Parts: sequence; structure tokens; C-alpha cells
Amino acid sequence: MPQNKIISFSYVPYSIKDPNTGVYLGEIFRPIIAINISFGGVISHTFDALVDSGSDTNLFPARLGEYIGINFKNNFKIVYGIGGVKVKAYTKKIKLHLLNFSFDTEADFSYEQQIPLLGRNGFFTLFKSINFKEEERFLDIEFN
Amino acid sequence: MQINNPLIGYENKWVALTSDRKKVVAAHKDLKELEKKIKHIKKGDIILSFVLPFNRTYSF
Repeated sequence: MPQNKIISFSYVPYSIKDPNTGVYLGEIFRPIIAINISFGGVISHTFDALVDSGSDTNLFPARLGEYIGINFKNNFKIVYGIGGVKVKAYTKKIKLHLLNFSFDTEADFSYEQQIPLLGRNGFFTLFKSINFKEEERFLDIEFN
Repeated sequence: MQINNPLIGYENKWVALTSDRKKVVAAHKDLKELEKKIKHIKKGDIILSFVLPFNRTYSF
């Protein structure tokens, strides 16, 4: 692991439209990074995940887990989102791959989740610091 | 306003982007179906991404 190394990721631009007129208003920049996950030696495609400091855990679409051979049948839990939205999720131990680095961690998987989220327990806990640089639109991840 | 974003036209779909994020090579609303479309592409050459509708505000 690269001690004290900081890797910067550029925010990713997404368009925004007026909800009433459908007219494009510009872009919003989100702290999204490309990761892979693996389970039992099978690795996923690279996929975008939102670095979400408000999320307690990692939460991924269940299909991303099924693709690497994870079976979701038993021992689900309920994960609560903004506004009290509830989703059924399965916690699994996985490897998370970021660039050339791999981490043993765990993630919740849900059939009701579309956007992969990287949360505090299982992602932020892997690093010394994560710095959201809003003005520059960069995310700095500092390794332990 | 001129918006030049490769994700326009793919709202509510999963897309497979080139690794430089400049081009969408395949898209489908169902991730499982998208996986079938990209079977022939090397894993490191693309990034899968879900495109949220642009006319909403999100709190994840």
C-alpha cells in the first residue's frame, strides 16, 4: 500500500434539466470514481460509484454482485435512505479494487438500488483521509 | 445552452462508457441485458455507469 500517497480523482459532470421545461440548465459535478469488486477470484466490470459521505455503508446494485457469483438468498437487512425509504439489502465480504490497489471490505447489495454508493464503513475507513475539493472539483484520497 | 455530454439521451439506463468517458459504446435499461451486449469487450476497456434522470435533484 502506498503510505501517505494521495490520489486525485476528477469529479464527473452530469447534465441538469429544468424539471418543468426540460431545458438543459448546465452541469452538476459529482464525486464519482471507477472501481471494481471481486468475490471468490471473479472480478466485475469497472463501474462508477458515488463517494457518499452520508452513507453508513457501501451499497451496490445486487446485479453487480450476481455477476461475480454472489448468491443473495438469506440474511437480508433493511437499509434506510433519505426520507425513510427502505431497501432490502444483503451484506457480503468482497474485495474492492481501486486503480492497482485491492482492499478486503464488505458491502450491502440490494435489488432496489441503482446507483453504487461508497460509504463510511467499508470505504472511507480504508483510507487516512478523503477530501472533497469542491472548488477544484477533485476528490483526494489519502492512503494510510 | 450548448451541452456536450455523452450521457445525454441515456437517462434511466445503464451505459458502457469508453475508459476516457467520451463515448457510450452500449446501453440498456437492464444491467443484465447490457452485460450481454458487452460480452466481447475486455473488462478494463469500459466503465459501467447508471445515468440518473437529469431533471431531478438527489440526496443519496
